[in-house]
Amino acid sequence: MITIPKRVYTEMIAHAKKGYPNETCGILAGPPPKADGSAGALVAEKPNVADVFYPMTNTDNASISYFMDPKEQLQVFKDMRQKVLEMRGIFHSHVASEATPSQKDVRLAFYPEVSYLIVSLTNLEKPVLRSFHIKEEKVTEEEIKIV
Amino acid sequence: MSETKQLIKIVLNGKEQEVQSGLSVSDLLLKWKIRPELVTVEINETILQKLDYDGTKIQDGDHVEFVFYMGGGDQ
Repeated sequence: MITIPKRVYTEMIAHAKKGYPNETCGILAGPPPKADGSAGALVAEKPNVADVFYPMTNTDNASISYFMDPKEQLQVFKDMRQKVLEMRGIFHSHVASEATPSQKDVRLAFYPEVSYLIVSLTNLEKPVLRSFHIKEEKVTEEEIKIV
Repeated sequence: MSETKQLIKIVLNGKEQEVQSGLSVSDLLLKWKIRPELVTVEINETILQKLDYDGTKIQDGDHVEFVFYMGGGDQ
């Protein structure tokens, strides 16, 4: 399960609508797990919370695909490090299809430890957001909790 | 006679690491089992062209960053 504050959800949907009819993309980040002090074990105080959204540029500038700007990616990764955040999710929009990973999404999923969030804007008034883990081309849906 | 390789210190994605001296970017990616066509590599704030991966040697104190491509879409 991934937990997203309502504020972040609103930012994601606003970014997707702003870029419509092109696909849009972004990166979600959250706090790292915290040590509970017992035998050095790590326990997530807030498991898989994504409370920061980085809107990214779709360099494909297209309605059927997205590609993040590597320069922006590097900047975001450095910013996350500076703020002691970890990447929690990779977000993009589908403008004319369901919020499920396409073959291309699956093929280009290189971060198995994070969530892949897709919002469908087939109905602009009712965006549908879903989240998946993609590992070795195996797709597993996870619950999204908006808080 | 075998050559003894020195170790150098680099900062990889924000973490200090020791690697053998004389390695190229291609050597490092191979060592980490990363396909070069899937990543962007930056050294000391400069993004490298893929054509330069073979010829760029990692130096002591280099700050190396790499990120996997993030892309996809409906089709």
